[in-house]
Amino acid sequence: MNNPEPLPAELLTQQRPRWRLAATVRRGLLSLAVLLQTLTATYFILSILPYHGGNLIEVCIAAVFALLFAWISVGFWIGLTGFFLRRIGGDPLSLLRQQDEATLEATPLARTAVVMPIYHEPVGRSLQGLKSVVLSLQRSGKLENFDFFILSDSRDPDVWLAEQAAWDKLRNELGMQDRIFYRRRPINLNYKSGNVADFLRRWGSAYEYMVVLDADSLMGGDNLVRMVQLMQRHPQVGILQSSPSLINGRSLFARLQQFSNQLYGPLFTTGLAAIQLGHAAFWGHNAILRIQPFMQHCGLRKLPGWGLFKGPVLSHDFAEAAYMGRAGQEVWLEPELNQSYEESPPTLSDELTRDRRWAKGNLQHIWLMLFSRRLRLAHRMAFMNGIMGYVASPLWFSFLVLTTIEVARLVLWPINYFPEQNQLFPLWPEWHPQRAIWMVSITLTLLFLPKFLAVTDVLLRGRRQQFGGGFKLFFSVFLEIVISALLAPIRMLSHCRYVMEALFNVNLRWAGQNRSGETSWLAAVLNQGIGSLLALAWAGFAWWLDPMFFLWSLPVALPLILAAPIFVLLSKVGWGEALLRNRWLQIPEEAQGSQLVDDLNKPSKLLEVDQHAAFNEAIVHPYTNQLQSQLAHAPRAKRQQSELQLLAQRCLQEGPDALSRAERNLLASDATALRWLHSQVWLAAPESIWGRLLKRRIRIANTPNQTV
Amino acid sequence: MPQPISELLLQRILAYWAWSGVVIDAATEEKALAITARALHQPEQQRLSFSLQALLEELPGQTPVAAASPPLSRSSMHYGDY
Repeated sequence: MNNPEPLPAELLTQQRPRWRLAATVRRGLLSLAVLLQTLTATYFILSILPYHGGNLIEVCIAAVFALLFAWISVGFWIGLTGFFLRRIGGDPLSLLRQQDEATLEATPLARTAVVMPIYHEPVGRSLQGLKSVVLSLQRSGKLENFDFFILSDSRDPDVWLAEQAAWDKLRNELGMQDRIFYRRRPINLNYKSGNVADFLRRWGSAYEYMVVLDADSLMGGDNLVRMVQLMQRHPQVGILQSSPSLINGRSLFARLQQFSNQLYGPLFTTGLAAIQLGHAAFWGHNAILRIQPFMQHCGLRKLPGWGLFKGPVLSHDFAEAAYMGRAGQEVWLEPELNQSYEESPPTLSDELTRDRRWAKGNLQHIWLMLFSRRLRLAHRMAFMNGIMGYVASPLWFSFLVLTTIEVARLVLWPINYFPEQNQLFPLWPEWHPQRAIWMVSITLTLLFLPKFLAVTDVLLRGRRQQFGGGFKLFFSVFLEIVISALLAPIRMLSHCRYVMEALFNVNLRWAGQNRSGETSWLAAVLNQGIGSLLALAWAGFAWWLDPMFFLWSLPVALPLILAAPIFVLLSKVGWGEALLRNRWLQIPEEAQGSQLVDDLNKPSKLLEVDQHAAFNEAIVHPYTNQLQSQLAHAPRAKRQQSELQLLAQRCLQEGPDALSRAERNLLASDATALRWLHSQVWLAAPESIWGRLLKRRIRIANTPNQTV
Repeated sequence: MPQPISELLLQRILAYWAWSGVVIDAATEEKALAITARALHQPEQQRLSFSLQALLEELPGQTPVAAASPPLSRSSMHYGDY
């Protein structure tokens, strides 16, 4: 590895400070538009309410409505901005447009580490993704500037032994023994940010830049090269974030997610990037970071508060972007950097499991947003945006509760026409259903107009074939809108639960994402049963109160009542694949192909690594045992060694299943124990536990198409 | 029916070699058969250990695995205020 060298001054692109002025103007206009729109809508809803805000319930309804309306209004204006900028050929202030293509092409690269932090991920898929990235860089001809690090935090010995075996296969397959590295932390201090920080402390100073990948990330070589060149030309940029598109979905849910991400996503990211400019957020992966300022300014101390606000920062990325901004470095989101991908959770259940973690992480940001010193306003707003992503659900829930109370009060309580003493004229409650319908129509316009603009953008760019052709595109959009409407109340109720859990600081499991498998009926009913009963009771109460109110409740109540079937049906891989065969919900990569994605899906020995039997394999298989022994600890102190010997004896006599995970971890980490067990297992009597395991393993090896 | 000891020995020798990267052809099969034959002449308790020892002698020595990580290049993370 070479030490990083700064780029000569003449190769640096002159910073154009006008983006700061533009950012202020754009953010001012956005705030003004949102404010005016929200005030108008709130005035309108007050005119709809029977007493026009004349009692506490109605004041609360109007206040909650205003917050929710402002939230969707921001999304609406960002979408509209994105559409406008895409129609004029992109944002002239974007980082990519601050120099011409030839200048960028001629920019020399600097040493860059591509790091992939993993924690109990499907190892075959993750490393196959990394292999695709390496092959793509090879095709770009710039591979020599990049080193690759797999940074494991896995603690289950079956998982990390499988990771080590797969890593060895990967580097042998690519002939890159001295370029693809593996490091495991036995103690997962500070989760992912601690994992990356550990890498930086060990090897950070040897590199100028670091590209962070998630376990399901995929980035094209040309894109990576372009990102390094942009960083080289703009030394004031600390983080450059690409906008990853979702790919590779197989289940109906994942295919819907990737379709909407690919169709609507560019509009929103273009708009968002235009508002944020050099004060963008970091999304934790598919981004390049300048290592020196990152190490200097982005170490995350534990939060010193109480409950949720005490301990390590869980969602580190937004905080790191904010600290980078505080240090005077710019953070850019560049939506036009293509070939940046990730995968959707395969099922709604998996997405909600992930949201549970993210809810806690984002709510922690309340503390950072309020108490961190000298942060830029834009980054405080980014925190606010993330927080609202989850707090919007309890707000919506409160809105439903308040409107139910309002209707119940009108129906069940006698109307007081003279609430004030000495009142001359009666106070009549007024109800304007037409205005209510107007209000709903306006809200729906805000939610759906950007989607239709995104479709228009695709049509105007002549990209309809990439989404299956005109008819199939419209059918797919219709399907996506119907299903996203069904999902909204389900997500809302789950998010309410997660926000409550986070605020009451219930411990959450922090485990890797499931990237395969369907949701069973039992799991769906157990997960959603209470919500369905609650919705059923609410709808029944609404019917009893007033059949009209029941009809209003249906768009929310019905999806919640049907949540379990929705969970199961959306998780079906067969349905997703049937749609794919017929080019419904098609995305551009499926229409035109992509070498990068094709490499990911090629049959590979990496995918054969079985992470359920890796401990047994490390003991039985001669080559794997040799590999794992060499990666394990050298012989330990005598006392520890004798304890390990006793444990190894137990493993030999009672089999691997008799040991706890911690005990197997100890054995798998010790070279002497691994070698001793290997030699003993090959001497095991055929009827012993290991003798039978060995026989089974040999039989599997002799039977094609079977895994360990 | 329990597996005959000769079959067990032969199976283990061939599996061990195959997993160690040895190409299993007629010549290696002959060697495996020869080791099995010699092992069968050993006392019953020593047949497995004899065959393991013999098959290991046919393998090249261990090749060291390339380093999992590059040489350390240490530096510090700075933890400022909030």
